[in-house]
Amino acid sequence: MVVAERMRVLDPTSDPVIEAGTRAARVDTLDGKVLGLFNNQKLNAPQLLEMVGEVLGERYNLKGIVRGTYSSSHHHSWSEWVEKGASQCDVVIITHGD
Amino acid sequence: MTTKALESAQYEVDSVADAIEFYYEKGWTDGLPVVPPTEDKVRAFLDAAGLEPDTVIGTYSTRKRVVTAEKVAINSVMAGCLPEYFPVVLAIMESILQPQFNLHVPNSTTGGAALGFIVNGPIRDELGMNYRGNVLGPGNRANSTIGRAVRLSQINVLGSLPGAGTEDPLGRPVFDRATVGQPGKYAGYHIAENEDDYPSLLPVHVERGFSREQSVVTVFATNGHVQLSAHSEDSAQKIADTVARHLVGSGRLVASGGYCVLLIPPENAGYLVKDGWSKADFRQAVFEGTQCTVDALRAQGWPARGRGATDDGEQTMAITGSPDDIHVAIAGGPAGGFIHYMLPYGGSVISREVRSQA
Repeated sequence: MVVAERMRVLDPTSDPVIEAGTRAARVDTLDGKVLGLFNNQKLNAPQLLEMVGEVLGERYNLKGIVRGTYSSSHHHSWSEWVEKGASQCDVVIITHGD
Repeated sequence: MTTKALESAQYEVDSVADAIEFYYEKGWTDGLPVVPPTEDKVRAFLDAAGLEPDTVIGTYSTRKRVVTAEKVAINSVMAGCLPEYFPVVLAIMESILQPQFNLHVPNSTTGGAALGFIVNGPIRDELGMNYRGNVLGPGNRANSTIGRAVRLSQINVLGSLPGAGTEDPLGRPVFDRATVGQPGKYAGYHIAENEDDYPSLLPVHVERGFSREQSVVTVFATNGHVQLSAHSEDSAQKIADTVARHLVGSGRLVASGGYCVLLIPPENAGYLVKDGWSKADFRQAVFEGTQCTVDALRAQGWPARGRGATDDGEQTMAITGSPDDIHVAIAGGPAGGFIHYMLPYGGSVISREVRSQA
C-alpha cells in the first residue's frame, strides 16, 4: 500500500499595512469660506454635488463657490487638480460617481 | 541561494489534487486550477532572481500593500511559470507599481481593463517566448503564464478581487468592479516582439532608449483590443490610412496625453520595409491621419470629450497627444494583415529592464 505524502503549501495573499494618518485641519464654520465642489464627471456625480452645494449655500454665508471636475484616470492630473482647483478653496467636497 | 525564512502561512494538504481544491475554497485562484506553491518551488523562483523573500518589489498605496518577492514568487508558481520566467514577472510588477502607471484604475475599474506587456531583447528567445502565430493566443507557456502570474498577483497580493458576479462568499472586499470584464484579464496582452525579421523596424525597447542587447518589458493598460483587416492595402501609406480611419472610428480621440499600442503582423510590416518606412514614419502617418477638429468629430456623431478637449470647435484632436505616444510592435504569423490596436486605460506606458538572473 502506497501512502501519499502530505504536502505543505503557501498562502499567496498580502494583508494591508495600515499606517496611522493625519486628517486635514477642520474649519469651525463655512461662513466666509470658499467652498470647492468637484465631481469626477460620472453618472449623477455633478447632480448630487449641486444638491449638496445648494443646501450648504442656504445654511452658510459662503464667500464663494469654485466648481470643477477631476479625473482619477490620470495619476499626474491629481497634482494639477490640487494646484489649479483645490488650492483656491478653504473646503473641498468631491463626488466620486462610478 | 535564498537564506531567509519564508513569512507566508503554510497549510498541510494530502495531495496535489487536494491542494488545487484548497486554493479554490480559499478564493485564491482566477477560476482556473493553480499549481500548488510549495516552499522548494518558491525558493527556486527567488533563486532565479537572486532575491531574498522579503525583498520589496514595490508598494501599492491605494490598497496599502507592500509587495514582496516572496508573494510574487508564490503567485508565479501558482500560474504555472518556470523559475527562469520570474525576472520577467518581477520587471512587470515593478513597472505597474510605479505611481505614474496608476494601477488603481485597471485594478478597480468598471471598464474591465487588462494589463499588457511587450517583451523585447534576448530574454524572449531564452525563455522560448512566442512572437509569431497566435502571439496573443494560447499555446506558449512563457507568454501565458507570465501574464497569469501578474493577474494572480493583482488578485492575491494587490487586493483586486474580482468577485465573479457576486459579493465575495468569504466576505472579502470586492475591488475589481468590472461591468463585464474581458478574457485579456486572465493572462494579459502578452506580446513578445519579432525583432529579427525586420531589423530596420527598431524594436519597441530600442525606440525607448534601450539597446538591442538589453531585455526589457514595456507595460500598458487597456480596456481591450480591436482587430482590423488591412489585407488589400499594398503600401505603408495605405496601411497607415486604414489604421487611422479605424482609430478615428473608435471615438477615443484626445487633445493631449493618452497612448496607443499597435500590433503589426509580418504581412503589413513587409510593406513598411518595402517602402523604406521606419516605425517613426508609420506612427507619424497614423497620427496625422487621425487628426481632426472637435467640430468634425461632432459632425460624425462623437461627443469629442476626450482628454484635454475644450468647447473650441476648431481644437485639433488625434488618437494621442503626440506621435511618440503611438507604440508599434511587430508580431504574429506570416499570413494575414490583421492589425490590432489597444487604447489606454489611464496611466502611462512604462519600460523597465529585466533584472539579470543570479
